[in-house]
Amino acid sequence: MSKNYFDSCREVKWCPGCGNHSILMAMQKNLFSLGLKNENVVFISGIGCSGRFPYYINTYGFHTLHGRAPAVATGLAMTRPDLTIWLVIGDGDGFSIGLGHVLHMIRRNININVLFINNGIYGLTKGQYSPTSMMNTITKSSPDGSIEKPINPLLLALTAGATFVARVIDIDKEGFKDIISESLNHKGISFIEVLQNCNVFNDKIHSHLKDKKNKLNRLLYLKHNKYLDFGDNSQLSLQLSNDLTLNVSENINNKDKIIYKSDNKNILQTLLAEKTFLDIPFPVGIFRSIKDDTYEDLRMNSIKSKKKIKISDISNSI
Amino acid sequence: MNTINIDKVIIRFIGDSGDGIQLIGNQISNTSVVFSGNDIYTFVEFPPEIKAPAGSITGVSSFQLTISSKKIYGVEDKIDVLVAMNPAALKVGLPYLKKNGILIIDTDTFNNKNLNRAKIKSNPILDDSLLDYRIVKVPISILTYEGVKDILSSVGKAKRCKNFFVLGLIYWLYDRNLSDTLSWLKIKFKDSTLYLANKKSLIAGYNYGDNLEIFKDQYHISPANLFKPDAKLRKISGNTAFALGAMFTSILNNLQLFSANYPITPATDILHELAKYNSEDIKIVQMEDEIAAVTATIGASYGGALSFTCTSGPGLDLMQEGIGLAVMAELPIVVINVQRSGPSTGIPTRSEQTDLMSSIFGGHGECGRIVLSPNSPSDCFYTIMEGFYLAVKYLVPVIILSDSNLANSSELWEIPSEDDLKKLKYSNISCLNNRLIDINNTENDDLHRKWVIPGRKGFECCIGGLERNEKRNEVSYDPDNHFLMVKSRDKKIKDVVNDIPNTIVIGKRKGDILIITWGSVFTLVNNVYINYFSDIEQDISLISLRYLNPLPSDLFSIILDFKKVIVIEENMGQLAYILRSVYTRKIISIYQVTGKPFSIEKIRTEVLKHI
Repeated sequence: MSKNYFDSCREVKWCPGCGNHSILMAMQKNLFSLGLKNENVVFISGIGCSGRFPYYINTYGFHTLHGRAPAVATGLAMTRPDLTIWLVIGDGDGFSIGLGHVLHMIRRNININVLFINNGIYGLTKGQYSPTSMMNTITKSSPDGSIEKPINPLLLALTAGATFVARVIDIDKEGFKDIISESLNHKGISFIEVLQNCNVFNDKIHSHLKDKKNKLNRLLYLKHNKYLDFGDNSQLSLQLSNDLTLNVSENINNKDKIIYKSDNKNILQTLLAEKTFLDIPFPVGIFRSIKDDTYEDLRMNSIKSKKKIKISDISNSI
Repeated sequence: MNTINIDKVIIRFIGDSGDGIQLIGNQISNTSVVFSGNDIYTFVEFPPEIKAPAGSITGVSSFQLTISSKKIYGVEDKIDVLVAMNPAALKVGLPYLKKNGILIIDTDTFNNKNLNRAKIKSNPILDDSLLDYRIVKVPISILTYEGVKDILSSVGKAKRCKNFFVLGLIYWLYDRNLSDTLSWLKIKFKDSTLYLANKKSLIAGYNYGDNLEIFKDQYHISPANLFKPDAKLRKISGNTAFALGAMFTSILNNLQLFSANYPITPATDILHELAKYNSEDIKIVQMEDEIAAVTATIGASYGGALSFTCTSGPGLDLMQEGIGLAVMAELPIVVINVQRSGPSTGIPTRSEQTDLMSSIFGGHGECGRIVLSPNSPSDCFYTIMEGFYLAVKYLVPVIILSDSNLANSSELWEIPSEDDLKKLKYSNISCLNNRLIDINNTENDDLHRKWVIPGRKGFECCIGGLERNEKRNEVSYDPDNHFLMVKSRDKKIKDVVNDIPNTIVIGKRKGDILIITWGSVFTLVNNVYINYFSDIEQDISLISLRYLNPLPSDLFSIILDFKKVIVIEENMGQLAYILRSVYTRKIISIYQVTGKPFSIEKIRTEVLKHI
């Protein structure tokens, strides 16, 4: 294979074994194989371990402030629609200090690809519980276990009206391939949650989902127009009960199964997003991918004058 | 009845915040410019509440207008005419009225209820407390209602036309033409009953003045002839001037303009003005807060757009971290800070100059930025142009310190032609193909790291808030390198003095007393300087300091040439403090922090103490 021009050749300073290494590899590989031009891609990040991402990929990059990267990306996207913009945020960065900006960016449907790296811990500050930490997580700032209920980022993104929502596990190369290419095809906001393992401060919280033997019985790969089947032989299936809860059934007839739709907004998407990674099954893949007007579309439709404004136009109107 | 020629009149309209005082103030201002050719200067005061309790002292809204046949030097404290729409308005406005000034009051509002609300014990229209003034008692509410009741049946609606009745009366008294306001009413209300009713009220007020001989004389103010006959004149406020200056800069340079804002009094009108021109290359957006506003501005700047944001004190506090990022990433942005009374929420609609220190020294770390200050409403236009020029040339954030007085005051201004603008040094911004470029790209320059906007092949790199290697665009934690970088960023700010023109000294270049002012205080001091200090034996000179950081290189030698240096400012002496520490000279400080502009009298007496 020829040299990957998306490798910045800088020394990567994440801890050995950190889930970010495989995320970075997946991103470099897929941008390369999809034929993107390095100079037309920009990675914008906030603060935290995820914030270092732009240094390690050979594109334009801007490592900004804690929590404010969505707004920086918004300003860039509004003025440079010609660029492919990736925003890299973490769970502390995006869903603690920067939560407001994330939701406003999503509701504006700006053409930004969001790589949300969720490891449920503050890593760079050496291990404190984050807004996505599970209850009872023991950290330096919660030695008796955290007593705060975690936030559900995927559900927030869906309810804020995100037009593309997906989830992938850090080591899932095939999953990344589909999701990155679909995300780049999508016009408007693309929100991708990556479950990342912090092997230093919050190790193995998702390990049961990665176990090769076990994962088919635990993971539900969402696919548009397909049944909600999972299990070794796809013998298990999710069914919606009369009380609007999801239950697992075994060996049922195809005609009685639900067909999953990702091309509209539906209640199944939010019900699936409610699942935690301790639930069986845990859904991954593309939750939603719908066509809608982007911020730029709406702006161009709303402005009165399509022409360039001249100085005389302003002088005459004041 | 006689028509008497006068040079100048200062009128103050005061009423409830729902009385339409600002509206009629703007009408007579425009008419005085367009039809009478006068110079004007307006000054407004209003409560932070949208519709404060009717009849209360805190709820009054004021519009003060100077009309003159000569050049006007800012706002003055004593007025010739007071129009008081109710007892509270009378109580608030009376201290400003000159002895023997004209006092027009709506007698219908002087009932017990309103007197109690204004906490006035004895009814002033019945007792002899107003004998010092030429009082004109008009039952404005009843006359308005009688005039329009056949058009508007509701008493409440009919009474809302009384501002136009008053306006008509003043139009007659000062010989103003009605046609501009009549056509404005037609555009505003189309053919509705409101159009007919307001038109009828305006004419009724005018005729009331004409027919009833309640005034002995009518006054005429000749055209000012300050501009060429074909000059394109407009009344301009500081906030509008910022919006125009930004748009003109972008159009002149064929650059995309981006402004991200979050509404805040008293800066919001800049956003309103810009939003009218939202178009392909003028991109105006309302963000979710000031932090997002400044960081979106940085994002757009990174992409090569001419970018700025507008805020006031509380917003500046929130933006400081973002401004620090622009310092570190060496990206050009302009932040307009329309100062208001603080700290915290303070008095949102009142003016102060209390953000000087936080503008120059704000932000953690060694966080230098350029700070400029315009000194009149129309000067805001040129200051933002210069701000953009300096930001792009030095790749640093520029803070422009306006204030509530500049923002809401307006003056007569000749709209410059495109050719005139092109002659200005700072109208030419370094750019290519609709995007900013690094002005020093081709030169061997050690001032800053190279800045390449995304899209250029072969220059891919990552910038950010982390310290960088002095030579290469790489993160560096090396202590010597950090010190070098701190000094390099500091030098960039210091080098801006090369772009600062010689300081203009009004009066002699050497003498007894040097007065230094900045921002809106200049016009007040200049007024005193011209009208009260000309016959003083000592040599007094005056400087309006536009460049607050860095200070002009010639300022020190000028200061050395005077026996005394006095700084006059609306804070606790912040500029005086800075000048003392920079120059280690004795600096006399005259200051106040009331939320109101200095009175002419206070400036005069305070300065005289040192003569």
